[in-house]
Amino acid sequence: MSAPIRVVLADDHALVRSGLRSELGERFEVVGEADDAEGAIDVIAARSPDLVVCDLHMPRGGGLAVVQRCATVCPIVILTVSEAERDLLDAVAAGAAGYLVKTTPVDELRAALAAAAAGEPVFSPSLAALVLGEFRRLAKSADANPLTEREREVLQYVARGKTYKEIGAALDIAAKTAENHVRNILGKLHLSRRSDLVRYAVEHGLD
Amino acid sequence: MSGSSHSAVSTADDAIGQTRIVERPPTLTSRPALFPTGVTILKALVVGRWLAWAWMTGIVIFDRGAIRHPVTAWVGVGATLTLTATATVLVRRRPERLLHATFVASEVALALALSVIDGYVFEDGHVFGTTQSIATQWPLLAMATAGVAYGPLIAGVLGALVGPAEWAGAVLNGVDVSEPRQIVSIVATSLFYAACGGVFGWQARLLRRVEGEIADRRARDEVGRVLHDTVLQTLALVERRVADDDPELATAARQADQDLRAFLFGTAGRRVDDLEARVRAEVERVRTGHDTPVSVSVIDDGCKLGDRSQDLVARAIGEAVANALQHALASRVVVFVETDVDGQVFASVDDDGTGFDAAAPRSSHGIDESIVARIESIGGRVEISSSIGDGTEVCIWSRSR
Repeated sequence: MSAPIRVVLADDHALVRSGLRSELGERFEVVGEADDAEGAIDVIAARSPDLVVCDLHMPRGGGLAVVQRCATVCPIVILTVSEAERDLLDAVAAGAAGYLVKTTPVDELRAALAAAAAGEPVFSPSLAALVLGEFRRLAKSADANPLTEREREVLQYVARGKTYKEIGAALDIAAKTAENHVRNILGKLHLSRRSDLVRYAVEHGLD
Repeated sequence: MSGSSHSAVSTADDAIGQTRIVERPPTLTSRPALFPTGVTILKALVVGRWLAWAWMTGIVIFDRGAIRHPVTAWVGVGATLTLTATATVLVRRRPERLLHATFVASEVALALALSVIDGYVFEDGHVFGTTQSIATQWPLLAMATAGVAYGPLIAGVLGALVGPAEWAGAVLNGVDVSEPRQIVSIVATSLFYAACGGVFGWQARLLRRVEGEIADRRARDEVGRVLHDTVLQTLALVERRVADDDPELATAARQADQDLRAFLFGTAGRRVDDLEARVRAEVERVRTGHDTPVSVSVIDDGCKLGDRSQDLVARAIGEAVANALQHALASRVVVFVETDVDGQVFASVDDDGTGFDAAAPRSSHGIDESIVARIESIGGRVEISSSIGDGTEVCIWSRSR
């Protein structure tokens, strides 16, 4: 078997970190830990890991700050307690490789982290559904950047649990094309959420 | 009217006053809690009192030619100075005391007294003769205080007392109060101040309620944040660690986790019988006892199905999940539900299990009876796509297009 995947764990709860460490198994090697966002950014710079597993809520910036600073360096998977958390979509839009709910069973967790380390976006069906729902919400406000019909279709297939290959076969397009659609969707999500924030700020008289 | 009840309870000290709120319905005896904007209003009222006091003092000095009882006028100036100074100190140190019955009663009594002596201190004919008065602003300030403290009804009633007080002032001023003109004027005064008290009280009540709601929400967010950081994390850990060794404990942890999440993230506040709740409950029911992860996503953008149809759709989804878990040897099941622009439902249950030959007779999978029959009974349709070794997807539309 190949060299273990070098992981940095960032979570402000020591219990969660030790839990993760024991669950990751032999395919992973924990090369660094941090209990806040700035610590995580430092550790990532020092250790250059293959993968970062990062809590959404941490002191000094949270997962979003880590994603904003380090997403180009290595894949970052956001750990979250609930998909209903508001900042989750911001982290994903900012370039997180994906997210995992903290209740994810061990096997699935390992598989998803391995996939993320290999550069595959852990775009789970529930994340796709979340993004789909977000675009429907955004569509109700005036100048949102809507999805094309094809993008919406692709996203719905992902939400239904289909792989890019299956989507390609169903829509008569290449798997790679389906993947690119998803990438574009994430770009739009990033832009839409930013303009949504700006609009919110203007409407509510914030700067 | 309520002067005696004011003084009867005004001796209650703060702590006692507070316990009384719990024991009795909110009446004059309970000291109303102060809300954030309330403090701002009280500060504005202090400024208003200083302006009113300066105005009043100015009149007593510069209009002294028209004053026949200067000593009484100066007593009035002194009394309002005392009240204003007290309010200035209290608003900084103990703003809630400004809503205390003692203070509210003092201010109302002083305002009424000024309305009466207004007629006494000036030369005859002054009350209806000139626009200068030492009393005008004080009843307004008093009604504002009473409104913030005790709401529109009490402030309105107190406001109505201003008319009779001015009537007494007019008598002292030598006015023939039996003239219809004067009676109309006095009734109008009463109505005006009653309306002022009512409006102040109503606005204060609105503000109080809105701020109460905001505070509740903040408290809940705070509780949420704390629980989120400890309890949910621990539950998640328990759930994951004991999934294999102690499925019962894992199920219990999952249930607790869901209940708490529903509360924290607002699903509890929603109707418990909406589409999402029904689907989740149904999936949860059938997955008990299975380790296979089932992810459920519901985008409910305004489902227009009736209760029975929603139930049948949820039941059909549950049945499809049960099939996947029991027969398909799936390693994961994905449930996706969304509503379309007409409020109709599309649902998909996808597994990566053994699959079957969709062209072959399917009765052995139990799909026809339990799922198709249910959905067709509400006028919908079901499509099942599967091939051996390639998983199964059950698609459900609540309407047959």
